Amino acid sequence: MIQSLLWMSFTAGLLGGLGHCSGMCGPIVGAFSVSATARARSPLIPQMLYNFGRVTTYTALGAVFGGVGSFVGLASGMEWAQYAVRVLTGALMLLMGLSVAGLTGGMLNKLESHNSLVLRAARSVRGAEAWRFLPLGLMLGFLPCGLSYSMFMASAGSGGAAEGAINMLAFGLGTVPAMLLIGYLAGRLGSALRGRLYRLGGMVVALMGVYYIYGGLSFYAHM
Amino acid sequence: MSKRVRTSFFRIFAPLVLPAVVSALLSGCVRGSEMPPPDCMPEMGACIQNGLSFSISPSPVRAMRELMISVGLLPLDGDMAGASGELSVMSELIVEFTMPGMKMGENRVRLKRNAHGIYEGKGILPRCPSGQRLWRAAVLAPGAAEGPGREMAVFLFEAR
Repeated sequence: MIQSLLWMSFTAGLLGGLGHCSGMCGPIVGAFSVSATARARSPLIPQMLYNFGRVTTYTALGAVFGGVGSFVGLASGMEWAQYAVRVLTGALMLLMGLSVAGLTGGMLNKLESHNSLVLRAARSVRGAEAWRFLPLGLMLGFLPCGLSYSMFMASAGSGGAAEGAINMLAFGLGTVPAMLLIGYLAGRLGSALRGRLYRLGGMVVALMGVYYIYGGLSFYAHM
Repeated sequence: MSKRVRTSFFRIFAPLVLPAVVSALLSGCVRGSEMPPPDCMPEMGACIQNGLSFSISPSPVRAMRELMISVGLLPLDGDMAGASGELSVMSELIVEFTMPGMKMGENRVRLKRNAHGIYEGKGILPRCPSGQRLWRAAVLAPGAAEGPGREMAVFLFEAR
């Protein structure tokens, strides 16, 4: 793949990150960062782990699309899983937001004592430790996104798995500055908020979770 | 106001007010600025503007599906005028698809002229998870491959 195309993919990620991604995924990144006060040496570590996971997923998907050489067949099948990730993400945000807002009482702890697959997945990304942001990033890389679909289309036409992977790696790296900034600022905000403001923030996160669940379920309702 | 009243107010009123505020904000984010209404319905047949006909099949137009995009040149007043005249000598056309108010990445479809003088090419419209369905198809002037390109005709349509 020629350098100019890689530069275009990187630029698409950079400009998309500042505009599209900030609006669509910024709330998710912000929500997790506000809700989870990560115990890390530096507040940047959780964000870097999250973005590493996300870009890894993009790169892997780019390799798959490039290797298969077709966007439509693969994307149609993948959409079902992607919107399931969106619903799961929304559910996580809802739970975390309600927990931060102090509205769950002991319910959340009782739920998490069950060992269903979904709750095990939730436990792996919920918590204060910085390392949890890595599986979170890996998972959220699957979120459906119109901009990333366009990049997957380019990867499918790139000529091979390696080319497709590099294309998505360039795109993913372009999105990192904006996502890093949003997550870092949200984490600092979470640390600075106290008492009632923090609980209000939790409510906002919970409502965003409802929005993402609604969007995900709407996809299945219209199919 | 006593502390007890303030606490009750917060617990009861905030969950009612916050959904309204956030929903209003989010719906503004989703819809963006005022969206123009679609002026093209591909399922009803070819759309015509500035001497160009534009059609998409299969119908209805769906996102995440391979689509056949066709552009035809229509003579105006018995002569090739307007965009038709300018494009009639070209062997290829480019149609650029964008979504008003939402950055969806570059999506340009190259159409090649067939034996009947119709420009055809295959393209895909990615789905927008926000639910937005309005698309803008711009037929670009010759030489558009190297740069932004001058728009010869623009069609607004919805994809499911």
